[in-house]
Amino acid sequence: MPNSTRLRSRFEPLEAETYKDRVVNLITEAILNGRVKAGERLNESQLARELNLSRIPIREALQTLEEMGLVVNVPRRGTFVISLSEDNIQKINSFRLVGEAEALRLCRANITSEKLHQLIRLLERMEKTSSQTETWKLELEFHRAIWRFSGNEYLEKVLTATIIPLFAHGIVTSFGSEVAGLRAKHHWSLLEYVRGRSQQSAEEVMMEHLKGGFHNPERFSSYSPTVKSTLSRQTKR
Amino acid sequence: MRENTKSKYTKDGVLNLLRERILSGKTSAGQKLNETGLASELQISRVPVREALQRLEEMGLVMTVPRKGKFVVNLTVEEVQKINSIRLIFEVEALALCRRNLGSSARRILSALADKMESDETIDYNEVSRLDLEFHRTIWSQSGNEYLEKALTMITTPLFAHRAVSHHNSLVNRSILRHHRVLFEYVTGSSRRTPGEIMMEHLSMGYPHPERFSSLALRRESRNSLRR
Repeated sequence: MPNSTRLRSRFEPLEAETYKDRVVNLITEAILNGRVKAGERLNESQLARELNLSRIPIREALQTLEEMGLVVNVPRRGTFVISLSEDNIQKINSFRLVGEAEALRLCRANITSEKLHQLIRLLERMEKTSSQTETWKLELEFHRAIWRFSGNEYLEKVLTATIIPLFAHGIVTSFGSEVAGLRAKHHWSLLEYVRGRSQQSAEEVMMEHLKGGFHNPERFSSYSPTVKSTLSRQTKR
Repeated sequence: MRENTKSKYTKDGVLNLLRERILSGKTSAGQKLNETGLASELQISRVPVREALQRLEEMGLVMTVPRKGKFVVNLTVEEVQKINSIRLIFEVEALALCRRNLGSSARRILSALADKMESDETIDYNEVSRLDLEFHRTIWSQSGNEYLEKALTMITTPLFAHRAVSHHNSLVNRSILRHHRVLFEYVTGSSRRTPGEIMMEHLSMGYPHPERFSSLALRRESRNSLRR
C-alpha cells in the first residue's frame, strides 16, 4: 500500500511488522518459559495453524529470531530452537578468549568517563535484578558495549555474529535455574581492567571471567595445554 | 517457473558475466549495480539478476549499502587496516592451533600450494588470489575450531574480493607468494619464530600498517616511547 493512501485512511494502518513482531514476542516468551524446549523444531505451517495466521509473518518472525540467535535454520531440515553441545560452547568460548581479550585492550585504550559510566550502570542493574533472563540480557549488553568501545566495527561485528548464539543458548536453557545476582560479580573484574586498575593481562582477566560460568572455556584455544589429545579431528586422519 | 526462451543467459551465465566484468575492471570498484538496468540490458527478468547479485555478495564482490543499493566492493585504506587488524589476531590463533592439529592430508595440500606459489610459471592475478585464499583457508580449517574458521572467513571475504577487484592489473608480487613458505614452516613445526611475528611480517608485505587498529599498535606505541 503506497504511503499517500495511508495518510488519508480512516483507520490506523495495520503494518505488516505488527504480526511479525507479535509472533517474535510470542515465540520468544514460549522459549523463555520453557514451553518450547531447546533443540525443538519450529514448524512454519504448524505455527501458522496454531496462531491462525498466514505463513508469511511466521517466516519473517523465524528469520528475525534467527538473526537474534534464538533459533537456527538447518538447510532442508527446518528451524530449531538454539541448542549448543558442550563442545560448541567450548569452541565459542575459546574464540571469545582471543577476540574479547583484544576488545578489552582496545576498549581500555579508548575509555572515557562517559563510556565507563555506561558500563557501571549496566553492572548496577545486573546486581539488582533477580531474573535469570534479564541477567543474561544485561550481561550481553555489557559485553557488546565493550566490543563497541574497541573502535573497530569489524571486530564488533565478528564478535557479535559468533558470540550471540552462546548468549541465546544461555537464555534458552536457564529458565528457573540458579541465583541471578551472582553473575554480576564476574563482570566487575572486566570493568577494573578497562579502567586500567588491573595488573593482569587481558587474556588472564578474560579466562577468569569465562571460568566463572563455564567448564574448560579455553579447551579449543591455543591457551589449552591439552588441545592435541582432546580434539576429535585427530582421530579422523 | 517461467522460462524466457529469448534469454541469452542462464542463471549461472548471468553470475559469470557479472563476476567477469567486476574482476576484469570493466565494472569498476565502487560502481553501483542496478538490478533493473542490468535486467533490461541483458534482456532477462529481474529474478536471475537479483540471484546473481546475491551470490556476488556472498562472494564479497558486491556490498549492500542500506537504502542506496548494491555496489562493487570498494574499501578505504582505513577499512582495510581495520579488517587486517582483527585478521592478525585471529590468524595468529589459527596458526598456533594449526601447528598442533595439522593433519597429513592438509599438510600435503599446503605443501603443494606453497610449491605452486614459488614456481616461476606466469599466473594471473585471479589465480594468485585463489591460491592465496586456499592456503589460508586450509590453515583455518585445521584450527579445530569451526567458529574461528567461520569468523576468519567472514572477516576476510570482502578483503580478498577487494584485492581482486582493485588489483586486477597489478603485477603479481612474487615475494608475498613466496612468504607462504614461512607460514608452512611454522605450522609444520620447523620454525622457532612466534606466530605473531610471522603473521605481522606476512600481512605487512601486502598492506601498509596492517596492525593499525589492533592492540599491537598500542603496544608498539608504548615500546617506542620507552626507547625514546
